[in-house]
Amino acid sequence: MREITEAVRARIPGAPVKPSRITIFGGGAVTTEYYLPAIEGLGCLASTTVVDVNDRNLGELKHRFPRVASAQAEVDDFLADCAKLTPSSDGMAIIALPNHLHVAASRAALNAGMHVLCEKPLSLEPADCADLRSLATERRRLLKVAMSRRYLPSWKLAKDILLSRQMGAIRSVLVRDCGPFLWRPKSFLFFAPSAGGVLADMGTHYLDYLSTILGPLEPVTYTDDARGGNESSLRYVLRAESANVELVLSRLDSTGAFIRVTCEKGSVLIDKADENGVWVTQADGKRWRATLDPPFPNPTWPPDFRGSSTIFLPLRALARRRSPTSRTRKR
Amino acid sequence: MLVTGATGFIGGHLIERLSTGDAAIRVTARSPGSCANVARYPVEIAPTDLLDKQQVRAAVAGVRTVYHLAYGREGPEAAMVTIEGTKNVVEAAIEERADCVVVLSTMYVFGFPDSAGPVDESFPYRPYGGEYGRSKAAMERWCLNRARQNSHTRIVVLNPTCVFGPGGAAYTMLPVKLARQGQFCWIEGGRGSCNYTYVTNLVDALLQAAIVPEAAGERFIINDGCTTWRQFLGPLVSPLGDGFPDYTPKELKALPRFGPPFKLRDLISAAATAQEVRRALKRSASVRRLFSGMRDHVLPRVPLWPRRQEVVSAGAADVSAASSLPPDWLALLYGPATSGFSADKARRILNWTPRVAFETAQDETIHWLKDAGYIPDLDHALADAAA
Repeated sequence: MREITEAVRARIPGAPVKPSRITIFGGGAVTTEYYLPAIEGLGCLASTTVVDVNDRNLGELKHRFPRVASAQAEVDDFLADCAKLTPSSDGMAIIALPNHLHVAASRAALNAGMHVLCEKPLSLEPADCADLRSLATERRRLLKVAMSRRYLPSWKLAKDILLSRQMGAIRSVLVRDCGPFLWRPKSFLFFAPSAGGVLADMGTHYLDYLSTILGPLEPVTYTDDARGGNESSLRYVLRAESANVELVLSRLDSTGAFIRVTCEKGSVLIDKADENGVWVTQADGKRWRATLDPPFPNPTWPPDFRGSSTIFLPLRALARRRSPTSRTRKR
Repeated sequence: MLVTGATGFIGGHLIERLSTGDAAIRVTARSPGSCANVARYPVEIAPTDLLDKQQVRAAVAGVRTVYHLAYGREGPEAAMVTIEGTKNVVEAAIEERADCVVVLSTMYVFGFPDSAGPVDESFPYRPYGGEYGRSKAAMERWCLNRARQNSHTRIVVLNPTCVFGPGGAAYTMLPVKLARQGQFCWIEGGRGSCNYTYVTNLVDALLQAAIVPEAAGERFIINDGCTTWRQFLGPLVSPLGDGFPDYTPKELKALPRFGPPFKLRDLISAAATAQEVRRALKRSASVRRLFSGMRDHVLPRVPLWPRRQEVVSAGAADVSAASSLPPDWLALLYGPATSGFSADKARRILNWTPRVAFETAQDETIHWLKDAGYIPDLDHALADAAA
């Protein structure tokens, strides 16, 4: 923790390691299912406030997390009050609002002097993302987007294996995430036209992850099932410098969920249901399951993924820790 | 227009058709989690609990046509949602002076009477299918009675037969899922009558019912045709195997789902070996003395004792066997009744005929099942292998 503190202070003077205050905008499902359990695990519940316009959401949330403070307010009204606070009271804002509110809320929070962790997607418009990054730099505040799946042990391990080139050059990638829509958002705004469909919801995770392995991705073909609304199924073919990428997503059919990366010397398979290991298949047919041990760099974090890493991503990103070694079990 | 039940199978197809027109569409939904399909279309989603009159009134406000497809699916309030929810929708439509409410009922309100001729709308109510059939019959009776009391808002009831097609449940995905799990069976060889309606044809009927003035206050059986369950389900399940078992309804019900037949000695043996029973008994000093004597000198000589292992292993085997047995309610769905249903009234008054022929409908359904991964697409797999 001291190492993180020193690294953070060197980069951004005054930035908290354990934020003096965490304000979560949006008391919906992602807050109750991910952020609050993670904050509770990190011992920061007492300094957390959840802001939501919906009294019922707040009531349900308080029932599960009685130690969390709450405020029923519109985002702008709450941040206007925050702006009156002294600079030593700055903290972190977590934006867990419907997608179309992300940009405005992130901007308001940065202007109020808060570090920002925004749920993905930050925006569906590149210009908005660039503006917010400039604002964060100008305000000397962190701005991070919760691309949490990058940090799943299985995804991290697969990336390590692929970038190490032990499987040779990457030839093609197939991403299939087709299963019934199991997420239970509390707000119908999840399906608002401005929120985007399955591409903005799940596709952003995969595109983000693949771009960190393959580099820039160029669109080739795209088809989806939107009929004037938001798509629930799509097929997106892209091209990286040396590999073809096919992304097949659906909230309606049930044909499985995995990432399969085909390389010169075999393939790597990430099963969505298995967040702790990957299957590696060699060209000669030998197959084994690799796991990351420990699953997270901080051995005190719970082994099951609760988004713990997401909360302190802004801080961990500055600590420049080495990747953990991997351990394989061959069959 | 308003569509309730739009997040379901038939509702989804109705929305797809309505979205090709110009009219604004509003749909009700109880929770956001069910909206993935309907959100693909340019619709307004109105969060609505059908048992909340205010919410229903708000959903119906300003609407000219209501398609009421929603009903209570599960839970203790299912029947109430079907009956009272429908009343709320119809009353709200009347108060808002909507032109028409088309209410989706079911063939199950007629049951499967033994009749020389086909079942038509003159047949009495003999609801089938437990609470589902009973609540639909009660709902329908109320709607037709209400239609007689009101002259402005037309109320029309449709009674479709077994609706199938892409995304369908009971007559599309269910038999395939059961076949994959090894739980499908024929009932009396599949000889019973399957009265079927392809979902596209049902949507045609819904739209006609909303615009034909003479339909007011009437109910209409919607039925494409009749075949056997063997002919209807065969093409869906045959890619997943052959030699499915065949039972009568009585045989199906009598399958050993809970292990071998009950015997008192099995109960005594199970109790004698149950940890909780032993712990409770051991609290008594007298019992402890008795047990140690029995254990050492008596029990090894009793026939019950060696059966313990047998019962445990037999029980374990039966648990695994029981889990792969066809469910006994299959006889309710794909049973041996041979009633036919007539759609003559719909043809005559609604000017409705099934536009999509059975063979085409079945092909489209199988194609969808393959695309969705429910049944193997052998042609595609062969092509992939060749490539």
